[in-house]
Amino acid sequence: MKFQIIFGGLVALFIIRLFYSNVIKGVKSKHFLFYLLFWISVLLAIIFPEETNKIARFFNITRGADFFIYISIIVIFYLLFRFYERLEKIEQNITEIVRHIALKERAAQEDKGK
Amino acid sequence: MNKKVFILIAAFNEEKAIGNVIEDLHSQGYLNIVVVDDGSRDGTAAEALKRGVDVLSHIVNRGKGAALQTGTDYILSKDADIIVHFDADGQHRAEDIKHLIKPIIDGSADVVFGSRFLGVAENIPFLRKLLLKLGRIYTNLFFGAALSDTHNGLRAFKIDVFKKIVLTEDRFAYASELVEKVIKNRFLYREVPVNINYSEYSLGKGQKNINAVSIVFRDLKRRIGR
Repeated sequence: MKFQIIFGGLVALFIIRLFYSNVIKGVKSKHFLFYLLFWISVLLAIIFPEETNKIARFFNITRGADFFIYISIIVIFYLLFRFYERLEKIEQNITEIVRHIALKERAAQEDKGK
Repeated sequence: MNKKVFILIAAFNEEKAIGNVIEDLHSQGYLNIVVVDDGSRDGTAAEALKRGVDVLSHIVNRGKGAALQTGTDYILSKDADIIVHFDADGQHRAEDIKHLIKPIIDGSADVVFGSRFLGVAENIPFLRKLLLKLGRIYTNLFFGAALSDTHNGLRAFKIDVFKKIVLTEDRFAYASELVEKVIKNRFLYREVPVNINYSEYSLGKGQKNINAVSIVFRDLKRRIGR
């Protein structure tokens, strides 16, 4: 019960903040709908833990919480790998830019010297 | 026939050593020198310019692989016949270069790798030596190369090699990427003994042994990604 109040309250705050910045303040986050659905599902899972157990049992996992953790880990790894790849791409881009500048500056120096 | 040899040096914070390195090269008759200053925060570029070499500057540090590729792009526009990789920290000896380029000039190789294990290496710390030996077993298994020293910065290439090969690894994994691509493209390669000077200075500046882990990881990633 304590868990539900504290974490439920926290998630409720997230949802309120979402609405505040997107609807009232007008800062349109691209993924507003996604975040909203995500946090509402989390809130529902906290308020109705027995429902999560039903979902878990469908996959032959006893506890809803366990099921949630397995899913979370998979999702987190996936996101981590995606981020890593993005970082790699950004690094490549930076090197390309730095190289371009180096070559350009050198060419300019040579032209000046001529 | 006189081949135009370009010496390519990637340098990062080597203002204390780069001057001597360039003088050593000049004393052996190598006048086409390109120094790529990889985002140094000291006077490396200035010291190099003082000695009349061509200097390219990365505005931020990108890694030795990236610096070498930048230098290579530049040299490709310069009508060069041979490119020699040479370290900026004084570990290499300019007198070894003639042994490196000989097989290229007489046509028996496209790529020549310097090996410290075929020659005389003074003062290699034991742990470093062990790691290098393991590294060579790894590289030979992984890439199918018969090399005794795969992470030596002293190498010589026929210019044609870099018309086909581009380095995508910015940092230390470039050395294995290079070996991998040389083999994949079926270039003729050999090894030649060279002498390395290990001093407290150059060891402090060189690679950390732990980089080996990162290199293996990146090699795997590249291989599996194909």
